[in-house]
Amino acid sequence: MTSIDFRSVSFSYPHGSQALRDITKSISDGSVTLVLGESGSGKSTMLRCANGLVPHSSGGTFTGDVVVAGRSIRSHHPRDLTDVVGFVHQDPEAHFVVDHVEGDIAFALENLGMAPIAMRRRVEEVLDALGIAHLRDRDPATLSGGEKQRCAIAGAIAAAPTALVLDEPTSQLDPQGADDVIAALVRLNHDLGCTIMMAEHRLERVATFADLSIRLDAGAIVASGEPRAILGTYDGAPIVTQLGAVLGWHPLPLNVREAKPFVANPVPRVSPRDEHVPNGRVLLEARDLTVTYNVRRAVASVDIQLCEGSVIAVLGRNGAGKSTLLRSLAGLVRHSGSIERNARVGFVPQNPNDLLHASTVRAELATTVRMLRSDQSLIDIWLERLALTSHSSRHPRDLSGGERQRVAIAAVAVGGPEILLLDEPTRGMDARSRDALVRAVEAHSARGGAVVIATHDVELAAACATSVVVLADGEKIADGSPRDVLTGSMFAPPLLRVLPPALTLRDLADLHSSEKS
Amino acid sequence: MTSFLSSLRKIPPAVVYLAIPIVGTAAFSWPFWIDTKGNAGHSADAWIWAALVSALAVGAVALELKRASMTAAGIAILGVLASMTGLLRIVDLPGGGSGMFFLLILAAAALGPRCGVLLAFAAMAAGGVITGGVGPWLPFQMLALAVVGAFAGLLGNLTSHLRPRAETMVLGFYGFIAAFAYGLVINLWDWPLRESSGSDIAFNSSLGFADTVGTYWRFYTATSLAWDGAGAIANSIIIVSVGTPVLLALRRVQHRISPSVYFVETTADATVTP
Repeated sequence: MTSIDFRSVSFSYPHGSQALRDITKSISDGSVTLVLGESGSGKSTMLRCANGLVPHSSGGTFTGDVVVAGRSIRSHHPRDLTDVVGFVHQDPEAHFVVDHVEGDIAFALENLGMAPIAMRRRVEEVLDALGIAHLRDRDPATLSGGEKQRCAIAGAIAAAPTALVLDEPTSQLDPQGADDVIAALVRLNHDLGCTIMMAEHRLERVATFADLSIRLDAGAIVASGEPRAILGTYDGAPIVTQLGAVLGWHPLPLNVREAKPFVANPVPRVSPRDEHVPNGRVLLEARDLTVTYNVRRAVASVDIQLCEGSVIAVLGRNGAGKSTLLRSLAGLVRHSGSIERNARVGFVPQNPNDLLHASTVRAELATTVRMLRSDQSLIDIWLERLALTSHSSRHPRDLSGGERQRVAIAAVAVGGPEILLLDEPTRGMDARSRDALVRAVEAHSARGGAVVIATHDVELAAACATSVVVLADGEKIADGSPRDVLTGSMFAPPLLRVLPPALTLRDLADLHSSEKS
Repeated sequence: MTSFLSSLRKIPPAVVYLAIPIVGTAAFSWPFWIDTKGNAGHSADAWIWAALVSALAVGAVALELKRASMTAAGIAILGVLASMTGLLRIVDLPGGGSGMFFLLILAAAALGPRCGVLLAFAAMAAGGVITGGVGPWLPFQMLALAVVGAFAGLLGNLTSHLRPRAETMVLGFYGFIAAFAYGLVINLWDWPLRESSGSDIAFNSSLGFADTVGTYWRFYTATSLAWDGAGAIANSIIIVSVGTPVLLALRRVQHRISPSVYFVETTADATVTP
C-alpha cells in the first residue's frame, strides 16, 4: 500500500531556480525512507511536499502531484493533511506553542476539535510512545535538545498521522540526544507501523533500519534503492561504509558491528601519518584556569597551552565545561588562574545566528574587516577556504544550518585573529561542509595559527586535531595526541575501532594509491 | 454559524477593504453636511462607528483566514509588527508626532495594502490598550490610520522597482504628507464637540458647507498644523534614515504573508493557473 506518492513533481521557488526536477517515487506504508544529498540538493523541498508546505506556504511553481493517503496536495493545504502527515523540523524550538509539554501535545488535537476525553487518552499514549512521560509538566524551554526534539515529535504524531516526515531531526543535537531521538523513531516504526520519511546526516544510526534511500542531486533523483546499494558512493556515508567501499568489502558494512567480520580477514597495513607535535611560538598559555558559576565549578584547574599550529579538540558530554572553557580563553567570563595571551583571539559561539546581521555573506565578512581594520584580501581567502564563494551574495539567513555556521566562522576569522575558538562548529553540517571546515582549520594552523574546537564530533577531532582534551565535570581527565586519547576509549571514532591505528581514511591513502598503481 | 462562515468564503475581500474608506468618509465628514443640532459630540453615535470599525477589522481578518490566503506565518508576522507598531505609539518623536507612523508606512510599503490596513487596525487597537487611550476616538484613529496604511501599500507596489535610496525618498515624502493628512482628518472627530465655545474657529452646525470648511481650516491651522508639521518632518527623517534595511528585512518575508502558488498541469501544453 502506498502512503506517499510523488508523481513527476517539479518545483521552483518564487524568484529561485528549480528545486525539484521530475521526482517520481512511491513511499510504501510502514516503511522508512532516507532522503540523502548535499545541502541545497532539494532534500528539504522534497520532504516539505509530503504535507503540502511546498508549495502552499512557500509559494512557487509546482508541476505534477503528490498524493498522501489518497489526498492530492494540489487541493489540500497542510492543515487539511494534519491527520495523515506529521512534520518535524530541524530546529525543535520551532515547534512549541505552549510552554508546557503536555499542553503543547494537546494543542494540535484541540485545533482538530477532538473531544477532551479522547484527547486525554491520546496525550498519554503519545507520551508513552516517545518515552517522555516524565517530562509532561516541564516547560520545553528547560529541556535538553534531545528531549525537546522528542517532545516536538510527540506533537507531530499527536493527531495519529500514518506518516511522519522529519527534516534532519538530529542535526542540532548532541550525540546522546540524537540517539534518543533515533531510538524513539525506531520504536514508532517497529511498534506502531508509522511510515517515516527523513533527511538525516547521522547515517550510521539510521541506515541499518531504512528500507529505501533516495539520493538527490540538483533536485533530481540520481539513485534510489536499499541503503547499502546507495551509500558506497555517497560522500556523507558512515566512515566504515566508506572504508568498506575503498577496500571492496561486500556486503558494505553500515556500522562498526557489520565491519568487524571483515577485519578477521587479512587486512591492509595501515600507515598512520606521523603525529605532528606543534612546537612553535606559544600563543596562549592558561594555568590553573577555574570558572565558578554561583557555587558550581564549570571549569576546574585546567592548564592549556596553544602553540603555532596547535589544533586542540575539547571533548566531553553536555555540561562538562567545554563552552565555558572556550569562553574563558576568549576572556568572556570571569575566571581565576592565569591566562597569558600573546596573540589575538576570535571566538565563534555555538549559535551562528548570534553573529549574522548583514544582508549578504560578503557584507558580513566585510563588516568585520572594516571594524577591526584587518586585511581586505582575507575576505576572499576565507570565502574560498570555507567553500562559501558561491554563496557570497546570498542572505546569511537563507542558508542552511551548516552553511550559516561556516559564515559565522569566516566572519570571525577575517578579523585576522591567530587563535580561533570554535564552539560546536559541525552542528548541522553535512559531509561537504565538514570537509571544508577541516581543510580551513588545517590551512589556518599551517600558517601559524591555532584552533580550539569544542565538539562532540570525534571524527572531526580525529581528522584535524593535534591534541585532544577530554573534560568531565569541568576537570581535564585526558590530554594527549588523538591516537593516544581515543584508542580504547568509549569515544573512539568508528575507524579506530575497526582498523586501528587508522584515525581517518587518509591514513589509508597510500594504501589505495599503491593498489591502483 | 459554520454555514454562515463558509458563506463568507464567497465574499471577495475587496468588499471589506472598499467599505473602509466609505465608512471612514461617512464617520469623519458628517460635520460638513449635518444640520441638526443637539448631537453633543459623539456621545450618541460613537458606538455605531466603533461597532462598524470593529466589524470591518474582524471581517477583514476572518475573510483572509477563511479564504486561506493568510498563512500561520503571515498572521505571526502581522502580530509581531502590530505589537511593535502599537508600542511605538508610546514614543513621542522630538517636536511632536507619533513613533508609529514610520513603521506602519514601511511595513505597508513592503507587504502591500491589505497588510497595511490590517496592521493599522491591529496596531492602533494595541496602541490604544497600551497607552490607556481607549475611548470614542479609537475607531476614528483606526480608520484614519488604515487609510494611511492602504495608500502606503499601494505606493510600495509602485516604488518597489526603484533603487533603495530613491524608494526611501518617495516613502519619506509620503510620510511627510501623511502626517498632515492624518492630522487634518483626525481632528474632525472631536471638533464638533467644541461647538458651544462660541469662537470663530468652532464648529457651528448652522453654517453651510463652504463656511464649515473655512471654519474648520482656521481651526486646523490654529491648533494642529504646527504639531503635524513636526510629526511630518520626523516621519520623513526616520523613513529616509532607517528605510532601506527595514524594507529589505520585511521584503524577505513578504512571500510568507501570501505565497503565490502556481500549479502547472503536467500535460504537454502546460497552462499556468494562479
